[in-house]
Amino acid sequence: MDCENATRFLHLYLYGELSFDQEQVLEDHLASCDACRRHLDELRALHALLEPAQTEPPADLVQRCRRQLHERWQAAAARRTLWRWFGIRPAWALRLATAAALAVLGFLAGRWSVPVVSEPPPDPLAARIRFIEQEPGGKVRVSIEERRRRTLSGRLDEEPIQRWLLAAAREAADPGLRLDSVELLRARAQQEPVRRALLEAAQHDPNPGVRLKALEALKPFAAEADVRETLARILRADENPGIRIQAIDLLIEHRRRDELVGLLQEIVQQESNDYVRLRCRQALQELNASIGTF
Amino acid sequence: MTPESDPAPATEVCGVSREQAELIRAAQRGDQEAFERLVRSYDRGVLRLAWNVLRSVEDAQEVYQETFLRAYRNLGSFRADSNFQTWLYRIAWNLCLDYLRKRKTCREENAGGDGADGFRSPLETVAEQRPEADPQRMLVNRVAAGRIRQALDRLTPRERMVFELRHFHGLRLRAIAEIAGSSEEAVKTCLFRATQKLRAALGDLI
Repeated sequence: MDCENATRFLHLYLYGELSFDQEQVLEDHLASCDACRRHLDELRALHALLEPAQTEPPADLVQRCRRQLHERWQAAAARRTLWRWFGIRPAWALRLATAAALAVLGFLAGRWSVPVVSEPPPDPLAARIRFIEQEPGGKVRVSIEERRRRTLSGRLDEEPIQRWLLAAAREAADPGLRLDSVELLRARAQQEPVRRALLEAAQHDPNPGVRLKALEALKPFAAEADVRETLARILRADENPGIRIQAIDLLIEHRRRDELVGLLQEIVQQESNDYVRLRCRQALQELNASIGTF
Repeated sequence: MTPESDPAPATEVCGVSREQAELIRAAQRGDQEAFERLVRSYDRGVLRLAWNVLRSVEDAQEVYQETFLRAYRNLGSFRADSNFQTWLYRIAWNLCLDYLRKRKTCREENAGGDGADGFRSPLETVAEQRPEADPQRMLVNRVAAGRIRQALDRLTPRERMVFELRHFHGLRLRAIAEIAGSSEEAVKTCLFRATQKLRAALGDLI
């Protein structure tokens, strides 16, 4: 296989769309071609870059669409029933209705012309013009999209509210929003999805304030295995010394000597921050353990 | 199968579960409830497709409504041993392509505008209302998101749809070819072109 052919196969390779034989030939080529390996890495990076471009529709949009569809069906069913009651078949009813509507429209069009606006037009600065079309008879059709703010109100236990809070805790671009969501969710930290969101925020939120708030929310559960595992990971990996200290404090609240001594000794050896190291030493002393390993 | 769940058939005949085939037959006999259960199995995917490709709440809603109304009207012509999802996606595909083509024509006619369509995810929009948001991070995210959106917008409607279905919906190329009514080779070429264009447009970000 030459580089030109390999280039045409690389994206299919990433999508798992090559046959076994094709994969084998491509992998043989990749093993000996730096340029194609770099190309493959670039495609992998492109995939990672594009990941956030896929978004879920707003949480309430599916429900709204279903409701609208249901209403349209109900209306259509009601119309069919009404025409049947008059002894007219729906197909004929449609033709009759169309003929009547055309007659009325023709009459109106001959008399006067009024602008067709379904509701008062919005301020052009606050709306976006989507389409402008010229219609027969010298009319112009302007299709406008308005951006509307919606407000949801409900108790924390209600599904839509909790879903939005969980989404905000994970995805909101604004750290203030994430912080508020975590603060509100802490009251439901015993629930599985909330616990998962808090554990995720405590480890991975880019903002240290949010991570700290999530740690506070997890405090009542610091004796539980999943929380302790997360605390140990935070202690090893979090870049913020204040958060590492908080993780130590939560871990030693429940003095599980066997579990903690090794971890704290490891941190004393590796830790670059003086205060964190000091706190680890204190914690080891509180546990009657030696500072170093022998 | 619950109404909300994705179809996960225990027994399948030609890619259609026995239960699903029964629902389809019931819907074909005019059972609206059966059709609504079918809708609920697939509507999230259809809406996600329209939402991500068209990036407009209004257009996504219209494509959703029209997809299922057309499906309902043409249910009689659906063969119960075919793949219902592919059939639905084919309807949604055609509607989305119409919107994209119409939009492209509008953009070309209105050349000189900024080309932005104003779409923002709900969380992104709310974020801006917060005074304490980190402006630098928001700016970087927004610039990258804008570049990605522009790059996707510059694909042809067919490239955009093929890329969406393969990359984001994870459909196999064979299924996409069926949805698009073309050959698997043509879909492969389309996906290759889309990937090359995106790589060229976003190369400095990766």
